[in-house]
Amino acid sequence: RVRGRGQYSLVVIGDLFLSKGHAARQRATRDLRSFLEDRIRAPIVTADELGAQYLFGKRDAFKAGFYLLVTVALFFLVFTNQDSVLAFLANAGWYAESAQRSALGRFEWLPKLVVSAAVFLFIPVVAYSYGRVASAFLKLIKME
Amino acid sequence: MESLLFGQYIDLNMAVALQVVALGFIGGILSGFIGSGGAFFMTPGMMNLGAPGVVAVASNITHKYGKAMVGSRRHGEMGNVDKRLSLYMVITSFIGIRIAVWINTALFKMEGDSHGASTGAGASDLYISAVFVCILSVVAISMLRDVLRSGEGEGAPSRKLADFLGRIYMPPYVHLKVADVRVSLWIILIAGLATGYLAGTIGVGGFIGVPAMIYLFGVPTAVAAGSELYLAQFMGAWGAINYAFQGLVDLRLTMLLYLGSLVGIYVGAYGVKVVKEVMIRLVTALIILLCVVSRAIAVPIYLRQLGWTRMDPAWDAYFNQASKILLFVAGMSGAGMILFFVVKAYRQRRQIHQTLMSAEGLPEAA
Repeated sequence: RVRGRGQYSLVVIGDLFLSKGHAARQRATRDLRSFLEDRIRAPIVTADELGAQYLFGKRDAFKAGFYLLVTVALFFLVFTNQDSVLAFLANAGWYAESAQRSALGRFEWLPKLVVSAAVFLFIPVVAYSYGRVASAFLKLIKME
Repeated sequence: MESLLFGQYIDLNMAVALQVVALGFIGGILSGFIGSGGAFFMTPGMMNLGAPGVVAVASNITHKYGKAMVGSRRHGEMGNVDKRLSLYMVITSFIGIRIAVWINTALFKMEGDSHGASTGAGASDLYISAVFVCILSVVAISMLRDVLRSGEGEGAPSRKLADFLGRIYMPPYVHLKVADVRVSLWIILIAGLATGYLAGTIGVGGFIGVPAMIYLFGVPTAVAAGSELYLAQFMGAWGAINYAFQGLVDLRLTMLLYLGSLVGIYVGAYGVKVVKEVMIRLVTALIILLCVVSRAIAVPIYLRQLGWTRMDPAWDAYFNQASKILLFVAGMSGAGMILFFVVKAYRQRRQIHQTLMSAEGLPEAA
């Protein structure tokens, strides 16, 4: 029985209807949630939803693995080709020669603009990928 | 001075790379703890490792771009971002950054002298160090005064300056809904210009932007921190674009900084929950002061390179080493203290969790 209205700040629906099968349990939980939402002015969440947010599960492991691969690939690409990357950033070496021979050589500022654009696009990818890995690791050790 | 790749990039070996990661980690902890970008530690740290000052600033502002983008979303979710305020400041901060890049690049690309040392690198490093020392010593002393005032019972930031500026007639005025204040647009634009100039010169923008928002505009502290972080991603992006255009961004340094900082920032933010606010401000002020002294120790090197003092070049290594040791001592002490409290709080939480888990095995009360 629900007592009163607006007396609760959060309602969590735990493990209920355990004697029923999985599909029936899901339906019954959904109906209960709907019933409570009509009667209580407070957020209603299930234990599964809370767990997904605060506990490290299979989905988190899969996502972390994917972003770790992306991060490793990006670091490998840059650090095993340092001379080429630095030449590109400094607008020197192979990049300056290629730019001279191509359409980029038409204007002095064009090759530099390409470098700016590359840095502008590359950095968020690195920050986001590695940020997801770091966040997943800290969630795993319950520190996020 | 060791030779630089393409005249501007340091030669990275494993030892140097690990030190850059450590710089990022310590800078990240301090950043998460204090709410600033951590550049006051990372920029001079990279200079101590041999990176020309302008490359250190360029790589750090590029690092700030990605980190602020990742971090500002959370603040936005908590309702701490006044986008209108941030966007007004962005307008003039872009001008400030452009001026800073122009000055830094012009100094760096000056002709070298006949003794082999680059006059440009020396001039640029001296300029960056001078601005760093002047501005951050004022910030550190102000913070220490603030801490002492807190000890005397005055907890909230002073509104004297904001009220004084509010009395001066300077239309047009803007009403900032999230911050819930009314400020002259001129004050916002000037603060944006100063923030952008400093961010572009030494990579440190938050230490001007956040106090300006709090003391000049009267914005609540949480909104100032959140709005500054939102602003930082645009300033970082513009700084990255401008410095990359000049060929001064070392992507390797930026990426290595991320390896440390994106973990450290969470540790630092966790530390905020478990350390008293007065202690946070005291530790911050002391670390900044030590970073200032560390940078000041390196200044004789640049004076010698410019021929302004007569000093044996062999002394450069000693000054640089002393500067580096003091910087790392400052950073590691601060980060170490924060880590101590974080680990302590984390272990207490685990203990409570285990106690609760074992209590579930007890028989139910009648």
